[in-house]
Amino acid sequence: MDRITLKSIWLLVLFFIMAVTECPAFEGRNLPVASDAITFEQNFDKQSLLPEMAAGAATPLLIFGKQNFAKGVNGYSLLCGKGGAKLRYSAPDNIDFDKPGTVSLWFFTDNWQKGIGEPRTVFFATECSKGYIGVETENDPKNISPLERKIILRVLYSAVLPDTRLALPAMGVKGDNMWHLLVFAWSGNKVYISMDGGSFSSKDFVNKVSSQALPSTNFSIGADASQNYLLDEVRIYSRKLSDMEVKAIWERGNMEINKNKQAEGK
Amino acid sequence: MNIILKYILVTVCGMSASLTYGADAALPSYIRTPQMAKPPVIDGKIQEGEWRTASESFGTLQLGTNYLTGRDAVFFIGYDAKNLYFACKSELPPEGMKLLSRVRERNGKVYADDAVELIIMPPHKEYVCQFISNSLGTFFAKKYPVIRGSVCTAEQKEWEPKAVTASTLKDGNWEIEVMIPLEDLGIKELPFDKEWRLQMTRDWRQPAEQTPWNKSGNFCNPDSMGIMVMDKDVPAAHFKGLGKDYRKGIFDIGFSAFNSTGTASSVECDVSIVSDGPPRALNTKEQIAAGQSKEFNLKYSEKAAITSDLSATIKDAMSGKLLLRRNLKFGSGKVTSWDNPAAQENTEMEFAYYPSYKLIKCRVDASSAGNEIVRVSFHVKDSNGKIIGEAIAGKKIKNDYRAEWELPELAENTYKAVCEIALKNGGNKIYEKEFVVKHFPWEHNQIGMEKIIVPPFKPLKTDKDKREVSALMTGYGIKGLFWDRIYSQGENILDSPIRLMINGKDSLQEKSFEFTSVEEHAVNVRASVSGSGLEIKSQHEYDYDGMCKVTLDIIPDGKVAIDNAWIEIPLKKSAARLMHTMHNTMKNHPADFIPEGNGVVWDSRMGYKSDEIRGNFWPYFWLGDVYKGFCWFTASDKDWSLDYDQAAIQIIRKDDSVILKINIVNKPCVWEKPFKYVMGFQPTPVKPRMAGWRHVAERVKFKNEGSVAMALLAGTCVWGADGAYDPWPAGKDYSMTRKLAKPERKQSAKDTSDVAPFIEKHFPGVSKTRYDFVKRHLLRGREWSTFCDFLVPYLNPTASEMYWDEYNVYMDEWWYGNYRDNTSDDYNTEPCRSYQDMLLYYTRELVRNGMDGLYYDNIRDRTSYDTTTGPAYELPDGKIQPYFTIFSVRELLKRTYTMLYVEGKTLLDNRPLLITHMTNTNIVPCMSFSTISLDLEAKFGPADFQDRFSEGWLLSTTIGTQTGCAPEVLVQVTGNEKEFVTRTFLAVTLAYDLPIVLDAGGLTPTFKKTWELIRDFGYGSTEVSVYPCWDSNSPLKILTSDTRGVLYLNPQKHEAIIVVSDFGKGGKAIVDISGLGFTPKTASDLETGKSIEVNGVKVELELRKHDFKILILKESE
Repeated sequence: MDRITLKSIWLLVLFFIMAVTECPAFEGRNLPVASDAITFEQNFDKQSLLPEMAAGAATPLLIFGKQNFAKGVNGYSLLCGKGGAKLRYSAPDNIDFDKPGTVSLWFFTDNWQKGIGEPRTVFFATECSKGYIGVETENDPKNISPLERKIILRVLYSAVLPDTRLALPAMGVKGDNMWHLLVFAWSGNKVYISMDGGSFSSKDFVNKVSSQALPSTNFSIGADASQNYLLDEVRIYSRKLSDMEVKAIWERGNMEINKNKQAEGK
Repeated sequence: MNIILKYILVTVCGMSASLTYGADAALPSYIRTPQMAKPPVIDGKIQEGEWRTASESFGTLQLGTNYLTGRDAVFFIGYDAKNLYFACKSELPPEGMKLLSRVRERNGKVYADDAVELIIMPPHKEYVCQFISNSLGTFFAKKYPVIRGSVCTAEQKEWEPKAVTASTLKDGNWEIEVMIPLEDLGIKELPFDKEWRLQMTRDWRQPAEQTPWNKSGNFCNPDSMGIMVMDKDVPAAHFKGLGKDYRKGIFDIGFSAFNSTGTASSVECDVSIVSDGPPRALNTKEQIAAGQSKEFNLKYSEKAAITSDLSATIKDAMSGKLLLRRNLKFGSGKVTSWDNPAAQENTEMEFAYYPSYKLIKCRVDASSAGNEIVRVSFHVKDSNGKIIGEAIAGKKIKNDYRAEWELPELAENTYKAVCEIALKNGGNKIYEKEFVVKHFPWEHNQIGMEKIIVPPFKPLKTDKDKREVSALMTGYGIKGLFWDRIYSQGENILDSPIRLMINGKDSLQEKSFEFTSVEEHAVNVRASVSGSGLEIKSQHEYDYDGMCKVTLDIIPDGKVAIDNAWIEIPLKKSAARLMHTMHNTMKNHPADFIPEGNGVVWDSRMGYKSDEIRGNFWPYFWLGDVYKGFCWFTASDKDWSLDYDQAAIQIIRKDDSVILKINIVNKPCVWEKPFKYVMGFQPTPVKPRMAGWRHVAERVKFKNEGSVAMALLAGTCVWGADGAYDPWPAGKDYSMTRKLAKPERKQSAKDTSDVAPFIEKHFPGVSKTRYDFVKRHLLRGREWSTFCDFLVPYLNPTASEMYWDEYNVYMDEWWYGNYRDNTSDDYNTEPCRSYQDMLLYYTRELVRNGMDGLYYDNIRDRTSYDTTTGPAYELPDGKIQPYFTIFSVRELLKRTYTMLYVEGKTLLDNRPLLITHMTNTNIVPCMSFSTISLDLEAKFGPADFQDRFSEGWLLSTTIGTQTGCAPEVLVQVTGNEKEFVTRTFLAVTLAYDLPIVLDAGGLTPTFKKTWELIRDFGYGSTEVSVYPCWDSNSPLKILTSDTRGVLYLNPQKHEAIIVVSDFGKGGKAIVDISGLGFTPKTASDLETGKSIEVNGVKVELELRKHDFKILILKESE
């Protein structure tokens, strides 16, 4: 068989391989878990404060602190805390407490062992004096680092729901300097919280979670006056995610994190 | 060799083609389209006639197939000299759903939204351009170089077309129009008669489905695209669709052509439909005048669910040029339609596993599957997938399917509770939840269940003739279902009998009565009454502390109309000055004087309660005075019939009685099936307070003889625990606890070298802060042990932790939810039987390893929503009315009290050392089995103590006389006037004789100094009598209304200390000392030494508001 013939065969085989492997229908379309249900996504990958997706208004209403970006779970993340920023966005259509919903976010604990004495660290909250819901680390006791305090979903000031604290165990010192996934959800008269892909813990109320119970017109992500952390992949969903979906988000995120580590030679 | 080569080539080409086009190969979609004379207005409105000179093509295909999708879209594509025009009209989601339009940044994840795509390779074949837009006008644009006839999307180039898009959402459709300048496609001159490769796609969401115009499995590959040719000399061809009712089997397959050429033209339209049904065809040739349009329709009806193959071509008859080619399938088979992601709510299964009951219950809300459900079943399987027992059919209740069934004894393993839903379409949904089974050494123990009588209680006495049962300080005289005599320290405190009134009458006649068992620790009585269509059987279970549990079996004879029913408890007015009732919110319960007046003076619509309970049912009431009283309690209002607008419970003052009226029916109902009421009753005082209790002090050893120093070891690290609520030390290593045992204390306080190794072993790798914390607490215990006589570890029997192995197995049995909530906290564990077993097992270990008693935090009622573990029940609206955990809290305390006694862990007069924190929840049947009760952990801050707690609160719950508990109070003072606030604290606690104080911070040295003065005088000794302000027998009389006084009298020495406290606005306080039994010669202020004038038998003092003065009076100099 001469060289030209062999080359022709090789080109045909190559064509065949490319035809089979190139441009599958959804190539490059690595959509997040439950993407159809996402009403708000801020992943900071473009180092922008504009969210990737927003069913409601996208422009932040207010920006507190300084905008700094760092490597995230996938792409970039926002630095939050004393050296960082808190962002406030409009609630209508982005988050709806009259229907079930979920918020998921990733955060990186930046040397939290040194955070003795620091107050609560808030990740997400609707800061309204007539009904507050937020996920945060406990404020007390301050003689231990935030790593050793519980992570809580807190409801306050609502005329409809009682002041509530739904707690997850503390991360512990082993949770320092790593990415964590925090997910909270609401559906009917229940709220839920999950950490690092675990099954939801839940709490029942007598009354429904609703916009009447939580009437805020905005929500905030990040913090500008607490323990420093990186915030990434903040998503709001228009339904309650299942335990399996939360686990999938966790596993996918960790795949990205491990990929990044390998790329950095860690 | 050549044959082999040919074979290889043919095979490879064939495989390529088949992979590109799938096993069912068809010719690519084709359009040849004229130039648009008038460009469309890009306003998002596809107007009539606006796009008639463009090509129109109905239908999008399921990916990789020729099969039509379940959602409709039609594409338009045209051009003029400068621009390419593209439009899409696609159906909107049904009502209740929105088009997803969230991405707002160019080149963001536009494909995550409902979007349209245009993928196009111009004839120059240099690159493929991809343009994706959502309805907001946000677009994604990239281009991919073509290499050897194909592309690699990883090799993408920036592409910034000056595209314009517009969208409208109207009439059930999303219409989008796009304009892209041809120069942005690399076109300078219109390339007539040259092939473009074209793909038009509708990216649907909800659910996600990418549906192209041309069959494709590999996007962006030119060979998987359709073909477009620009041609100025041909009519525009349109494939309009299958007709508006095609999904109902009524087809009106429409094509048309518009002649924009300027001269007459002729068009051939050939359409064939091939299926299992009759073949359909349309073959026609039509003349079309210039500027005119012609329509071609193939109409037929086909209701059978069969697959049809449509092949359509439209040709220009004069030139023979192909204007349009389309091949697609439609008909039977699964198509994707809109799926509301919000409808996926509530499709998770809930379950709860009860190891002690060997029971599991499951529930699934299948409302989203609606009428599609054929069958729901549940089962349990082990880790090997083996089903345990049988599958159980789910029962439909409202929107749920539920099942509850017994399980055999399960071996240690991980199991799954499984729900299978069979659907009408043949599919099924499966939900699984995992649970763990593990066995523990403490399960099913009998610790604390010995049938013994623990001091100071004495055996019950029974007089069968008089139908009387007597406990230590109280007793009952039985009549009918209840009693006509309730004895409190020998006095009958009932004004009239306790009765069950039905329809306003007490007309049921006694049928039987019997003492069924009489033992020293328990007496049982059965009785029955009947009349008016009812038989009621009562069972009285008298416990040796004087509590009586009454179970009423109501047995209607057919349907019995009940307009009203209530239990009437009429106490003598003289026995009912105070009230205490409880809901499930600590620190807010009414504990005060019964309001003045006659008639209804209080009802259960008053008072703060949380909205966890529907209506105004309260589970516990006590009415009484300092040394007498009576309480009623129950767990639930199940089987009551209540009008929530009316009072469930009332306190009525009438003539010489104060009546507690418990309205079990205030909304007319019908009793037709048997049911039970279970209630508890208990007169007070239950027992006397501990002899010598005044000697006890918290973490202080006073100098006076007999002083008893007790230390609450809080936090748990003090005795070696890790978690705040672990009832065991870290690693279940009791070495630190043993070091606090009496024989070890002296030595272990000196030699603490074992502390660091313990921390290193059981707290490895902790932060320095944590290490220091643990060490500090362990050493604190050693320090307290040097001067404290009793060390009492802190425990919280309403807490559990997710990291306990025990909790992972028992969480559904212990947690207050109705199904698994997968969480824990400090307050919402019910101390049910299995929890008691666990706690008693470990607390016994603690006391066997050195502890002198136990402290229980949070002794209060709490609500539980679990319909399996107690009488919680479902209301008509599906909400659960919870039950109160009073009975299990009582059982926990009784078992603990008994265990401590059996283990010899007693204090002073041989009663068990059990301290219970009950702030504002002084539940008599629970505190009956406590020795020291802790109150006042509320209203911390800078306020004066007179303003924090009412005197009614102090009398009804704090002083401990009703329950026979030595009173302990918790205090915290903040602010910048701590000295004065400490004085107000002393003013209150001295007046009310509350010497045992747990200081949570803020008390100044004045506190200890003052008590030293009083104790040096002999407080607590047998020589000194103490008369608090509430003691009606006190020789001391206070003549000013807002003044309170406590007297410490040494009648032998003719000396007295009087503490006079202001509870008003300050001013003059006048005290009558004529009853002291001696005439004082000297009187002085014990704090200042200043002399005080005694005016005959009166002493007058000036007091600051809320302050106090201590006077010492002596007969001799």
